[in-house]
Amino acid sequence: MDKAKFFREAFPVLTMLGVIEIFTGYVLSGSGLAAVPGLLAVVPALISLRGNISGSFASRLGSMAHLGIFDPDRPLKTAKEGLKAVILMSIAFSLFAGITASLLLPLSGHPVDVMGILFVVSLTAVASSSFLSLLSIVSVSASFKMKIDPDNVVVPIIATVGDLLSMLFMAFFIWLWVVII
Amino acid sequence: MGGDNLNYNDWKSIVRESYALLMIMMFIEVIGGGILSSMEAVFTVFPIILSFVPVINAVGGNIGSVMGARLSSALHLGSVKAELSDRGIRETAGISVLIGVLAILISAISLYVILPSMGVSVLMNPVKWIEIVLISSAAVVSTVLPLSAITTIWAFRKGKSPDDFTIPVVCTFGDFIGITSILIAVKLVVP
Repeated sequence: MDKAKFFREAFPVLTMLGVIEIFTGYVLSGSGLAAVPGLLAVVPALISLRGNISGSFASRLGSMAHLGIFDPDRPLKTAKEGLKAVILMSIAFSLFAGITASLLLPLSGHPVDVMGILFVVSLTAVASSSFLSLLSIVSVSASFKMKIDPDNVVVPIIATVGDLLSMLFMAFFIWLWVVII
Repeated sequence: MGGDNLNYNDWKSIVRESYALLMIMMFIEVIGGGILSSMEAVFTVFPIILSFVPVINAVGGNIGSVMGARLSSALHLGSVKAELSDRGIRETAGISVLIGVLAILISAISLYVILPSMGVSVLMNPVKWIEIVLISSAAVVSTVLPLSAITTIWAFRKGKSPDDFTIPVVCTFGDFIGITSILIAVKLVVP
């Protein structure tokens, strides 16, 4: 392993992504969370779902690139099966997290708006996972063509953009929920 | 060999390999979320602390994931041995610690400087802020990186794809540890 190359490639990207995360924090603290009681409890799950599922997807594409089975000229075809898994799991697990929080929070006396939580969480998951999957494919293809190791850059980029994106979608769907009711 | 189990051509095998772990992870995240909910009153007074949650969780998860992905690729290529004592693995971990702590510090200082210009009052003494940041970042980095190395090696030895395993584990425990360490740091530093 080339230590200097690792530091040179990973440090600026990770620091930049940490700084970008400030905007995620800003969107989170101004998202109007209080309008949907209990939603804050699902935020870490919602954010990590993006990193977990889309990050794993991007990492898998990276390993495929290393093994020579990712075709950067026909990326959609190569990634089709992974893509199906991403969309399906995003919907299923965001609902799972929403239901779990709705069941657990009342145990500690915390108020929950079950319908509001499920509405915001599932729509946020669908919107952001669709967008992120395409971004994963594009960035792995691009880093492959630019001869940058996708392991050092693509996974963090997806995780970070995913955080900001899911908080923006969440703020939007909170707003929509408030308008609907 | 771990490489033989990279079932990239079938969505069902990806779901089958991931779902049990993801369910556990989601459950842990919701517990972490419950801890966050219990701090809602603190966030109302100090919104900077709520804004710091995604920052520390992201950097913790990112550095753990980058290290896991690097080890995973290196193991697939056979350039490191699947043992914690491997020199390549130790060197990678050392550089990852450096990158992680520096990235969190720079981000946290930027957060402190930038938030007021976005209309959010910080209302916190800078010394206290650095204390909170140092306590929580030290906790995250020192927990996430060993976890990343151990789970990647374990997954590789068991013939599971580290891509489906390490990143979820690292991000989830990173989040949980991040939230918990912020809670502890806040309790210690904010009277």
